[in-house]
Amino acid sequence: MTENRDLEFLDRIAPPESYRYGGKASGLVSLISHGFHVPRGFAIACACFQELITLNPRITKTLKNINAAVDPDPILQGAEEMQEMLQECTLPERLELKTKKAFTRLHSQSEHNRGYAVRSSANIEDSDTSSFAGQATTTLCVSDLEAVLSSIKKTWFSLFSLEGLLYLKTKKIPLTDVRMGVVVQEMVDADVSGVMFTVDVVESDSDRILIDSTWGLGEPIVSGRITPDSFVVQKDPLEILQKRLGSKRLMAIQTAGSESVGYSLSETPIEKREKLSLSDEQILQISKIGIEVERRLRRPQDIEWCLEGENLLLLQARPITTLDREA
Amino acid sequence: MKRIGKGLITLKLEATGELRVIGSVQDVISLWKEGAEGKIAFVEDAGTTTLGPIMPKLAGVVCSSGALGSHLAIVSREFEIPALMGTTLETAEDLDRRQVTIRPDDNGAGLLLLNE
Repeated sequence: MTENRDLEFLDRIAPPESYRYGGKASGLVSLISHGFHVPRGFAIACACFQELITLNPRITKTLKNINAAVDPDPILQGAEEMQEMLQECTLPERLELKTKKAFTRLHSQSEHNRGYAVRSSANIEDSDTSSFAGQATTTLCVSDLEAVLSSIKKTWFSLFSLEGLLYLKTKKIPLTDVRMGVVVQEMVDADVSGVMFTVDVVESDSDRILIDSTWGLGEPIVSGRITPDSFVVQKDPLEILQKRLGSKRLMAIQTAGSESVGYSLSETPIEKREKLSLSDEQILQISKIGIEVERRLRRPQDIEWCLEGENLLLLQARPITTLDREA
Repeated sequence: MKRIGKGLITLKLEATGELRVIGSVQDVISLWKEGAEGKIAFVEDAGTTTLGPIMPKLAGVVCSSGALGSHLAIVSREFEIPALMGTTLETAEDLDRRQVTIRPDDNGAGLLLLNE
């Protein structure tokens, strides 16, 4: 019988068990199992959040009411009640202790004090039919254990934020079926970050790759605050077909003080705005990895990546939800 | 029809409808209650994923920031409606409640047209 763990390091999760930790964790475990570079970290099982819900019958009842509601007003009221109830919940002591132990180990292995990303990993996230993109909370550059514990709670509760509830209802996903896992990973001091689609989702062309990139962390791309550089690459033969300079008005960079880590969003220097954030060599390097990820995972992927010097790390891989084809 | 903007299109689909400016969650709720069928939402923030409840009813989305990898682009594609991302407007006219068309152009670009 497989032991049901509350928390496990990503590189110790067996792929068949990864579903316990939610969609994002599953994607990361899959990447690790295929030998791709992923930032170190651990995942908290969806069952932990489920335990919290089960112990609070009022929350379950409110979820059922929101589930059944059709009109906006009861949904809005229910969402407000949910957040009030969730704020009264605390992390189970057992989980707090395990998180402390895992964080201490992760921290001791870190070569640089770059902080940590606390990321959502809902069971319905990053699946074939629902991305849940942008619906739950991710906190970047979290500096210490207390902040990690607080961010875990924030991520849990964001599942039932107004945005999360509305997305779930719109996709007709029963609210009582949703479970939230959490991933905690080392931050990467990224020089360039971006996203990649291993097929051209606009032209529906599986022979092309689309890449967006910008300087620094990738948050301004995924949050949509900026227009990044964009590239179109042909897979076979591997060739850059198009390069478009984006305005890249803002950039997110890590800031490290003596006691804390964070990140700042500031105006991109003009010389960086006017320059493509990737060289031709880097575009081809990223494309080759994307082709390999698609091949190994056996379907087109939406991939978040970053470059630290010459080192390419993958931050996320999920199936492209609007395609029905396999690689 | 007059061209009034250009951006990056997320799906090669054309859409026509009444443009409605969405600046807040309250605007989404108001449009939800009023009925969003066939409307085209204009948002300035591509992180605005609270379009959720009206997304299935919309004909399309226009956003002045972001690109294909933005959350809004990914979610709108899930609902199979075109989104024009990183749109540069070429007019100072007030477009709220005007009839507009999103039309794919070449090489992943898309146009925003005013239906006069």
